[in-house]
Amino acid sequence: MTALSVAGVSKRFDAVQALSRIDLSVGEGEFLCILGPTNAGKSTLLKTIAGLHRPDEGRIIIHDRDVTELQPAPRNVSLLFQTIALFPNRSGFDNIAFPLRQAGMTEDRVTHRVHEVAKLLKITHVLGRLPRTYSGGERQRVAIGRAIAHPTDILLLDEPLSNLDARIRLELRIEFRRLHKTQGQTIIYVTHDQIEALSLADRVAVLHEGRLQQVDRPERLHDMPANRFVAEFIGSPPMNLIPARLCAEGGSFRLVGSGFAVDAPRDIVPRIPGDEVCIGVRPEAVRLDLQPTTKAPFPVRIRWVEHHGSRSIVHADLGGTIVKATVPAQTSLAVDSFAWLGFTPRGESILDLATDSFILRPEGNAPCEKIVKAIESAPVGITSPQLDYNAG
Amino acid sequence: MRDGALVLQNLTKVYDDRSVVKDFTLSVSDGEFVALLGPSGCGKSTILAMIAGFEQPDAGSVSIDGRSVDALPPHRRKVGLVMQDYAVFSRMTVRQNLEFGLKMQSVGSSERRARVSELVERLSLGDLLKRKGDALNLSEMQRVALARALITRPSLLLLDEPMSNLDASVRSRLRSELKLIQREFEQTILYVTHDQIEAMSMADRIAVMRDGTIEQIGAPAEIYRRPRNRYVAQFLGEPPINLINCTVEQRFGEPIAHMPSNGTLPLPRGIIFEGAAILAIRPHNVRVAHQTDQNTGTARVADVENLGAEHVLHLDYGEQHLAVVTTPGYASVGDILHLVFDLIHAHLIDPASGEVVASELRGAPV
Repeated sequence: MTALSVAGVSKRFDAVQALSRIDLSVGEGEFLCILGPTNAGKSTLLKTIAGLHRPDEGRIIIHDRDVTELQPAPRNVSLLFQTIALFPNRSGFDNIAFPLRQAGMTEDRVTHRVHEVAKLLKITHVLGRLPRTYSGGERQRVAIGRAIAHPTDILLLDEPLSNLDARIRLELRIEFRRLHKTQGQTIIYVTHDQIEALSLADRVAVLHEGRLQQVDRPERLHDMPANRFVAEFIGSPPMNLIPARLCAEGGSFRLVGSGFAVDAPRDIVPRIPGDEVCIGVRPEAVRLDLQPTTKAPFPVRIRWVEHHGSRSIVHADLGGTIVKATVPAQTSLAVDSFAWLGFTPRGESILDLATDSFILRPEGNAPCEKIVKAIESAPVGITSPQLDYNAG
Repeated sequence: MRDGALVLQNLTKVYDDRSVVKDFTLSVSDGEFVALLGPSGCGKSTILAMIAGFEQPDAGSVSIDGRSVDALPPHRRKVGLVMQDYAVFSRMTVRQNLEFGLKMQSVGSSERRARVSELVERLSLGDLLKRKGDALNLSEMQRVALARALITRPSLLLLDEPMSNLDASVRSRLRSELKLIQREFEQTILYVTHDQIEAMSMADRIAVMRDGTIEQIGAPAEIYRRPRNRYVAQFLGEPPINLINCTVEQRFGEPIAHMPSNGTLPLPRGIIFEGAAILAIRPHNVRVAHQTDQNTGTARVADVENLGAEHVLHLDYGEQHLAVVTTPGYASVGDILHLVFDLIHAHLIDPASGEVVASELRGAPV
């Protein structure tokens, strides 16, 4: 069943087109992350779903009910903002109990539920205290507790972890996953942090300048980005995009760039529209050696070795293009030394420079199976999630 | 590198009877990049404020370039400061922003222009010069703030969480930009952050802080590989290090760790510790196998976390939690796996003191 459909939603603020024709469906019990940089329109989309903004065009459908014209309250969604607002003069218990009492629950059941939620979030020890005595992590957990205490149809979370220290963020991320598993609630989670999105979500919707770029499962987003924006946004570090030109050499096709020439993947050649492309190569797939080998035949100069603990990221200068490679932590590559680099282009990672889209995307923007079923059974008038990568 | 670009001696700061900085001593060499790494409230920003002269220490002294600055006001300390909110003047153009500090120092107009054009070239700010501060995006603002601090040629550049407002992808780019600029200008930097990736990737040395004092200071790889105690071990590395409660028994001079799930793990000879212990090992240094000849116990996959190029398996190991990093697709929820511990990257911690009692458990018998 479809929990939420966003159909052709656009929203404009004065001169800024915040959202452009957003089509998105979220399955019952699905965890969907909306991922994008600052000002991508993520919060606007969330607030439009919650009913805090009215879309200029398009519909919002929650559980087969068109709620576009409804006020926030009857939509039966809960929303947790980035900046936490707890009642300062009420205890943790009363803060979490608030939505339950609003819903008219008996005091017995309120007590039971508050303790259940507190145990889940490990905040039993702060229930009797006032918010000003809490640490940042405790405040955030109590706020999350209040948002989830009374299960609504959809839980909307706007960057719930972004004001917190890295360590607490990591802990809460794992707790969110556990929470979603145990409660099975439909969650829409806005973040600019790709690690959060990839690790939490069933599917990720990448938003940029008010347009959906790709809606896909995390591993596909990582392995098969739809366009330049997604390729450069996902992955730490993101995919290398190495400029190259298609050349015919004695009957075979080669991709030639500054400082290198490699065989063009055969399946892609007839489909390359122009001569100018970029070869997408994940940093994990770049080969670096101290000696020239057939797998690493191109000389590079090492510009920087970035230590990340368990691994290092080497910035190698390949004919003027910086190519990043992930190597083991104990690397003998040193700054300003020379090394040898190689990579094998994959057909699905060739980017057409004219459109900034990857050429081979046979399955297009495949939604997950349960979504497909949900959409097939949805009432007429709701558009399916679709994306035209080549659209303006 | 010359010693003594910055020397902090026994700095102490007390707010409302609470010491936020305690007897803090640190020496930063000329051209060195040192990161103060710690959680919110550990005193790192207060230290920066005392160096810059915005806060007076209750005890101790600050010297910059070999002379005491305790009596000097902020603007005479030759210190550049970039904060989280940048404070770029929004009504001024980028050029005016850059020249502002120089005007304050009464630098002549031809010299001002020369310095602006030098920086503009090195920081690729050319397109921005005529723009007003309020027309910049966050990453442009960050570069302008950095340029404005560098243009006065400070002896010391202080950076207080300068990237925490930025998106992850922008941060990754700015890390390499900042490092290249620092190397080119040979700029001494003290960098405050709670983000271990920023500290690990840019700093020559990291000072890991807790409650106003340094827990450990050293090169990033050194601190990562040989943490002194549980706190430091937990602070660096993502996913965080595993802390496995176990019991060490000395069996005729052969130390053995009794692990969860009825496992046993022979430890290298020479470890004299006995009793309840914590085996600290990073998720990258535990391998999982569908079969093994070691009897370290089995673990069940409770959850698989996707981090893009790697997956993190969250395992139920007896009653304990164990995280292991694998290549994508190795195991799925419910699988029962055997464990192989790469002891050369493991440490033994005394749970009572939290101190590491044996580091990098070398020479483990097979």
